[in-house]
Parts: sequence; C-alpha cells; structure tokens
Amino acid sequence: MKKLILSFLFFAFVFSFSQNAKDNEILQAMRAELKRSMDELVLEGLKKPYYIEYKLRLRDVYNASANLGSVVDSGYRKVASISVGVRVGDYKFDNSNFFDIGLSFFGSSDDEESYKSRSIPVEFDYSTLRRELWLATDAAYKQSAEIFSKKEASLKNRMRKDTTHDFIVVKPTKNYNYEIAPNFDMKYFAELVKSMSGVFLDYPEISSSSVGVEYLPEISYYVNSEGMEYINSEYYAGMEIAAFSQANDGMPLSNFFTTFTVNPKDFPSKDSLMIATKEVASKLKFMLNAKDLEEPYSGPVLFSSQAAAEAIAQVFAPNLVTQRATLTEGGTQQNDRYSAFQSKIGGRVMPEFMSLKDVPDLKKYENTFLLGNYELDDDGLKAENVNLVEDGYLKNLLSERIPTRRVRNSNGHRRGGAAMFSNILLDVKKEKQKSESELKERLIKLCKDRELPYGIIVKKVMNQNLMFTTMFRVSGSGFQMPRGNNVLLITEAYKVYVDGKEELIRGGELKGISPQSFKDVIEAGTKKYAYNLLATSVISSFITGGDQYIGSSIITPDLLFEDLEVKSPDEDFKKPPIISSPLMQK
Amino acid sequence: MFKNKYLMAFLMLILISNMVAKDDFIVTSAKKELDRTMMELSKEKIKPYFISYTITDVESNTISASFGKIRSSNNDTKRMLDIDLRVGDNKLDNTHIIRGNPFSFTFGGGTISLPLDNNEKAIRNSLWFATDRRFKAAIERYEKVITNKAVKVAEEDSSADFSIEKPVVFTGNEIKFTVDTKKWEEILRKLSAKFLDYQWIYSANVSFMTSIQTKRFISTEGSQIVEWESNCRLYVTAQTKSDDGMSLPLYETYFSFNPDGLPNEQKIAQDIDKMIDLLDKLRKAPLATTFSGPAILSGPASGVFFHEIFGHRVEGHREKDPNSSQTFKQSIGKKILPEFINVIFDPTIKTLKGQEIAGYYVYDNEGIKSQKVETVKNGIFSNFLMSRSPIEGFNTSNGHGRAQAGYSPVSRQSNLIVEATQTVSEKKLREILIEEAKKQNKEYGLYFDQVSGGFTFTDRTIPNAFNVTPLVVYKVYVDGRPDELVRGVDLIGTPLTTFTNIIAAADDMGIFNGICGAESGGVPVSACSPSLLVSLIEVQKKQKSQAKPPLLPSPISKKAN
Repeated sequence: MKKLILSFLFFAFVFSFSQNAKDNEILQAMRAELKRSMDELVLEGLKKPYYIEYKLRLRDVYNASANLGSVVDSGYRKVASISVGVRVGDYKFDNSNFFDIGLSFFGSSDDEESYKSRSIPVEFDYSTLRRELWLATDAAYKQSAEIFSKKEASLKNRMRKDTTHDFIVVKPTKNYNYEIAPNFDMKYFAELVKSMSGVFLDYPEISSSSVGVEYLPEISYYVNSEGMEYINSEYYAGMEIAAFSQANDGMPLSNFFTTFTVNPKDFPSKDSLMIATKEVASKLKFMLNAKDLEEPYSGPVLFSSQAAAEAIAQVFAPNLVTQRATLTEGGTQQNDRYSAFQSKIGGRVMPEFMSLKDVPDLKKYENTFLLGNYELDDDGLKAENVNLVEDGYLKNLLSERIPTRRVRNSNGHRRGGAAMFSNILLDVKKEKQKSESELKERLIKLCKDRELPYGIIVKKVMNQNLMFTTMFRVSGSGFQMPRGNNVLLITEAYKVYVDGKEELIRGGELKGISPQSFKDVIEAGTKKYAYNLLATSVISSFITGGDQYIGSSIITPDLLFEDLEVKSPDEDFKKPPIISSPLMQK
Repeated sequence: MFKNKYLMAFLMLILISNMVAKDDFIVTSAKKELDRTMMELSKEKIKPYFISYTITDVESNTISASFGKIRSSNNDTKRMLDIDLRVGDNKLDNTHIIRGNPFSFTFGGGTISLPLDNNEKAIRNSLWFATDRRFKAAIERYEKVITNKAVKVAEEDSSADFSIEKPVVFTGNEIKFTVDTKKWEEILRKLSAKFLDYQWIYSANVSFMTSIQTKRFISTEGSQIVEWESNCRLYVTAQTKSDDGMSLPLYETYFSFNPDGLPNEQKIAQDIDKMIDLLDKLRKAPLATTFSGPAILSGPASGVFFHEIFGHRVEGHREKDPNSSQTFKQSIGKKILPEFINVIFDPTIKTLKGQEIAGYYVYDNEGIKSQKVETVKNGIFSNFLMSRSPIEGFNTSNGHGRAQAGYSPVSRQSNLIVEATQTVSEKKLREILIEEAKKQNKEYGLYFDQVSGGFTFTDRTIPNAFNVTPLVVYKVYVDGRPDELVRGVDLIGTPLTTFTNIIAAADDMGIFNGICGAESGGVPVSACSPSLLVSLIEVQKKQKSQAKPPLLPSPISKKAN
C-alpha cells in the first residue's frame, strides 16, 4: 500500500515538472512574438499597435449520447486555438467600439489569415506557436489599423458628444493556476447514458428521446503587452435528457432534465439519474393526456425552483451586463437586446425587499457545485463580487475593460469573450420570506380577490441551450420554437384551483414577461434553489469571437408575480404520427 | 376490388421476404419496419408507392498535420439513415419539379443518426419517427405538384418521375482494413515538416483520410443490397503569396481503395520537394494578361475541363428542369466533338492504366447496378447519365443515381474517361500548338499543367459559362524562347464553342481523382483524359486578394526570400 502511494507521488512530481517546462515554453513563445510585434509591426503611414493580447485555449471534448438503450455517438477530441487582439490608437480612442459593416459583419473578403479562435495544431511547440501567432497578429493588426482609420475618418465631420474612453487602463498581474483536470471515465459514462436512455423503451408513447453527457476541461494561457499574464484551468461536466412527443391533437410536447457539475465525480448517483430519467418520461406521458389552457390566462403566476431560475437567467440577468454603444459610419448605435438597464443605475428594478448580487467566488451552494464560479476573467482580472440590486434599486452592472457612459471600471466579468453574469444570487429580506405553502395560499388569495377560478404555478421552463441544440434534433425539427420577444416557453405548469387542487397543464407560453416585470414580484420563498445552466452569451459570439454558451448559476427562491399572461401556443400543429410506434408492437 | 389489391400487396410482401439473401441484423430489422410502414400507410388516402431505406455505416479516420505537428487526429463511427419516400405513382409523384418556384430546393431532410449497435427497437423507432416526417412532407409536396401542374403550361418533357426497374438482392464482399494511426501520424509529421524551412510558405497541410462504408439499401420493390465501399486519400496543400497579394496554392492528391495502395513516403516527399520548388517559382512569376488563342490542356487539366463543361451537362435529370440550359437535349445523334473523341463514364472499373480511380462503385445510391455509359462515340452524342428519374427517350437508369449520405440521389458522374482514337506524341502536340499560335499571329500559346478544379453554371438564369481554375500555367513562345511560368488567370468559356475547337490529342493519359460537389452532396469521381490541344481558349484575370503578405518575416524559418 505504502509503495503504491510512493510511486504515485513520484509520478505526480515528474508530471508537474514537465508541465512546468511546457507552460514556460508556451508563455515564452507568446511573450517573444508579442514583443516582436509591439516593436516592429507597422504598416506604412498607419499607426503602430498600442496593445496586443494573446490567448491560447486547449480544450478536450468528451461526449456520448444514447437512444433507447444504444449508443448513437461517443467520442473524444482535442481542440487548440489562439485568439489575438490588437488595438491601434490609444486607450482614449482606438479601433474598437466601431462597427464597420464591410469588415465586422462579413469579415474581410480577402483570403486573410484568421485571428479569432484560429485553430492550431493540437500538437505544438515553441516554433509552432510563434508561427501561428505571427500570422494571426499580422492579420489582426492589418484589420485594426484599417478600422482605426475608418473610425477616425467617420468622426472628422461630427461633433462627438460621448467621449467615453475606448479601453480601461488596469494594473497588470501574473497568475498561474495550472491544474490537472480530473479524469473522465468515458466507458462508464457511455454505459450510464446507455442505461438511462433504455428507460424510454417502456414509454412507447414518447416518439423520440436522447440522453447525453459531456465533459469539457480547458486550459488557457494569456499574455498581453501591458504585462498581464495568466494560466487558467477550468472544467465542467453536463448531462441532459430530452424527450419529445405529440399529443393526439398534434400539440408538440417535450420534457427534459439537465444536471451540471464541475468535477464529473460529483454527478448525481446512477440511481438518482435513473429516477430522473423515469420522471422525465412519466411526466411527459402524463402531459400527453393533460388538458391545455382553454383560454389565455392573465393573473398571478408562481415560479418555483427551476422555473424561477430560468426566468432570471433568460429575462432579468442578461440585462445586468454593460453594453457599449458602438459607433458606425452613420452614428452611434445602441443595441436594443438586453439593454433595459444600461441607463437605469439608481432606479428601482425589483421590489424593495429583494437584493441581487453576482458572486463569482462562490464555489458551492448547499450541495451544488456552481458553474459560474471562476477566479480570473478573460482579461486576467480578479473576478469581483458585485452588488447589483440593493433593496430593489439597481446599483451597478457587470463590466469588463470596455467602459460605458455609466460604468467606467472593470469588475472582472469578461467571460467567454464579453461581459457576462456568473453566479447570480437573489436575496430576500428575512421578514418577507414565505414557505412553500404560504406562497401557494397567497396565490390562491390573489385569485379569489380577482375572481379567477385558478392561478398558475410554473415548475419547469424550457432551457434555451437545450432547445436550440438537442431538442431541435430529437424532435426532428418538430419542436415549435417560441415566436417574438419576451416569451418563456413552459415545460411543466399547473393550474391551482382556489380549493388548493393542482392540475397539470400541457404546453403554454408566458408572454410579455420583461425585465420590468420583476418590479412586480410580490412574494418570494424561503428556500433557495441553485441551478446550473449554459446561459446564452449576452453579447453575441458572432461579434466577440468567443463562446455562444457560458456556464452560469442562478440561486433563487420561488417567485410570485402579481400579473403575467399564460396562453397555449396559437399556431396550427402538425399532425401526430400516422402509424403507431414500433415500440407498441408486441 | 379493394380486397384484391390488399391480397396483391401481401403476396408481394411474401415474395420479397423470400428473397432475403444473407442475414444482416440491421437489414432484417429495417425490413420489418419498412414492411409494417408500407402496409399501414397504404390505408391512407394518399399513399406511398415506394419507400427505400439506405443505412450507411461510416468508419473514418482523419489525420492532418502542418509544419511537422499533428493538427488533428480523429476517428469516427457513424450510422446514417436516408429515406426515399414517394407518393402518387411513378408517372407523377412528390419529387416532380415545381415550376416557377426559384426557391424549390430539394431538401434531403438532413442526416439522421441511428444507434450503432444491433438494437432492433431503437433502430426501428428512429426509422418510424423519420419516416412519418418524410411521409407528411411528401404528401404536402405532392399536393403542390398537382396544383403546379394544373396552373402552368404543359411540360416540354412529359416523362415519368420514377423509372421502373428490377429489384436486386445482392451482398458484396466485406472490406476490412485497419489503419495504423501512429504510423501515419509519424509519416504526416515528417512530410509536413518539409515546409518548415520556407518562410514564404504561409500555410501547408498534409492530411490523410480513410473511410469504410457499409451500405445497406432496402426498398419496397424488394431490393436488398449490402455492400462495402472504401476510400483512402492523402492530400498535400501548400500556399504562398506573391508580393501583390495573390494567393498561390498548390495541391497534390493521392488516392487508393486501401491505405497500402497509397504511394510510399519517399515518393510523396519527392513530390513535396517539387511542389516547394514550383511554389517558389510561382510567387516570383509574372502576371499573365487576358489572352485568347491556342492552348494545351494537360491530361488532368483536360479531365477537369471535361468534367465541368461536359460531364455536368450530361447528368440526365437536368434535362427535365425547365430552368436548366439543357445543352445537349437536342443533340442525340449529332456531332458535338471532333470525331476522334469518345467520352465514356465507367463506374465498373477500379483502375485505369494501372492507377486506381475513385469513381468506382458496384451499385448506385438508388440500388441500381453501375453501368458503363458511352456518351460520345466518334464525336457523336448518344447518351445521358441516368438516375431513376427518366427523361424523354431515356426511360431507365444506367446506375448513375448518386448521393452523399444525407442527400437525395440525382444523376451524377463516375469515372469520366476521354478517349482519343487518333493521337500524336506529346512533343508533336507542342509543335502543333506553336504552329497554331503562329497561324493566329500570337506571340505564344498556353500550356495548362495543373488545375485545382472549376465550376460551371447550367441554369438558364445565368450565362452558361464555365470556369476552370489553373494552378500552373506556362507560356509557350513561338520564337523558341524557353517556356515561361505565369500566374493569375482563370480559363473561361462557353461549352459548345470550346468543344468544336479541340484539334488534337496526345497519346498520354492524365488522371484526376476528386470529390465532386453538387445538389446531392460530395461524391468521389475521377476525370481521365489525354492532353488536348484547343485552338481557341480564353483566359481572364483571376480575382485576387488585396491583403499584403505578412509584414514581418517568419519568426522561425531558416530560408528567407
């Protein structure tokens, strides 16, 4: 036994030693090419770069998916990429925050080298890295220099009102957090999703289903010309169950379950995952025969657990990050998407008994390891906890190194390419916290006051990542996507009659829920629910060249809204399958 | 009356199940679902008259390296399903062209992944779910077809939508080989490292790909085919830039049905050396100007030229589309090429002059046995490449209905072989070129050595031009000066006039193995031809990048300019 430990220790030592050598080689290559580019890179007649940053990302991608007890796809691959940022001008005024239709939207029509998420050999050394960085920096500089000139030109004949700087000066730091990511037992997990997916064999009324698992460890290396450097290790693992079917009247219905964790060893046990799968299946089976809302509902709605978290993640939280208005050749352009709070600091956005903060340093809430936990942001800045809403009033926004008119410092929230939320924690004043039964009573009382026959509790809301990826595939594109803005798609909701009886309704949409709706939360629960999700990046990854989905967490109690609208989807449904499933065959 | 019809269907089913040749679990499972579906759906008002399932297992290996390092190395196993479901009858069905609709894409429905192991329930459930969608889409389209037919003028080509063919039961020989990934990774590292020394080579890639496909085809007509196809390729690409920003790529491809059939490392290394040498010359080469006059197209260049300007125009289904230019529709029995030229498409052969050719297959993607098709004999046009979509005068398929997994088959090319019955030596061909240039009062003629591929338009909405992208072009001077390498031109023209200008062929044979992309996806093809002399071709300036070459020298390479 002792011997085993000894040899193990020895191995770990050797490994970390050689890893150090590798890390040094990587950083040295990045530093050397960065220095050379800062010193020598210049286009005749144009400005030199004043700032360059390099990021190298090494990712491992493990995934497996299964269907009715069989593996459909399983694999492992490595991905290596570099991203280069070059700024021309100075901190006050540079090539950024300018949208050039010609270049930014379609990219250059010339066959230039790519420099955002440029894929490089997975096997590389000092020379490989320098060569790749050389070509990427060259392309990035040429484009930045060109955009800078265009931006300058477009402002020549204009009186500029907004003189907010383009980039914030920060103090450089060096952080090296190299960590070997935990192992992933591909065989075990492939077997696990296979068994889980087999549950659906007993549910022939469910047309299509899928169970998948993925694990994504990532190490990034960063250097910039200000002297900032970091090595950062991050990983997370996720599992998803998706099921789709159609009711007899054709209404497409779905159910799902997701669970995320940081270390794959912390996934729920096989037993509880099997139970979760059965629940997804049996609830969907039940929904197929449930009634839908005969007429649109307008009244109080109680969001419980996952539904409350999704409502915050999809409707409220995306508005809490700074968004710089970009200049174009035609003038300043403010993006409308998720920008409700850009000039709202100081104003009330929630009831006075509620406060909300973003706490990236929180690793775990009760038994849940949080996906939004991180130490350093993309810029290498320490992630700060930020009080966003205090006693109902908006105090701050989550920011990166791009200042806006209202927020002129970075609080270390550049994630996946742009400012993004991480661990959103909602607090409710002690005296206003209500138990589950009290919340339900209050809901019923509100209904009585308004002479409504029933109120609505929403327990599960469709997750966007799952909807656009797996559910779309599983449903054979038969899933009906919500139309228009401010719509939350309901997966599981109940009518609560004034006598307290609950009745499952199938399908339905919450219409017109907006960030402003959160002002009208009238009650909140005692118990908080911690929910991990892959949240859609607020600033599109097409613009940032970063990630489309970013691991985040929402910790929230149940929320009771005074007045919302729920209705059945009003489009015509496709017909259900003409012949019955072969699973029904004896 | 109705009862009789049912009886018929049942009888047919029995007949079909008696024809099962060899046990294949997937085929047996799929067949159960196919039979059940056909029986159940024939109770519907609009019913399918034909359904086929193609289930393709693809085992693939892809390794790619650049500058001595592995870029990626992956292997993948997939099982994919394609469905052809037709309602109506073979004369008029849901696949019939809808006229006057510019956006009528034939959507294959995308790839459907099936479970990898022998799980009958899972496989049948996926088949059922996908078939239901296809059936509904078919009905919807069928209704549109009927309306369209009613509101538009009578069609020029009134042929049926689906040919009548005999069902086939066939089991091929299984193909098996293992790929020594480690060995190939090492070879690729070494080969790609050869580019490291040249700082003006901005990108270079050596990649190796193998795939073994198990193709299973079953149809309600009773066809049941299980066969194997394999494919191994090695690509070398490298690219430099001239000072004026023009990107100059070169390619080298090697093809074989088996990894052992690829050339050895030494041979490829030699080719890479030649490639580097040529790249260096290319980036310093002068720009060519627009030119019209005589030219020689090397064997592979002629092959690509024929593939583009001729091959795509004899793909039969295009003759039905009123939007298509239908270049050869009225040409049956007429002379379109000089009489010393034959053009053959032969998917039944695996090699030509000792070289493996990629357009070989036994059965096409509609379950029809591949056939040799002579499209031009002694300059006279006689035949089209046919899928099961008949055209006027051509009622049956000749085994050219092809598709990539995930797409619907249409008629596509296989091994295109240009034969010359009257040839001269390569040296003589060059002499004729010079003579011809003199006759036309030109300072020089052109020699197209390598081409990367090309494209062509066959629609009526756009002028019917073709464009072949040369990589290596020489000026052959009439006054005896040495040949001069030039860059920056594309070979352009219109098909019919260019054909009549072919005046001589050499006694060589060039082979171009490639993947041809069109509406039914990418399919492996070859284009083989002797060198040809064309009395009048036209070149135009190539579109060129405006980006300068990198400002700084490479941080690592030893050999500077």
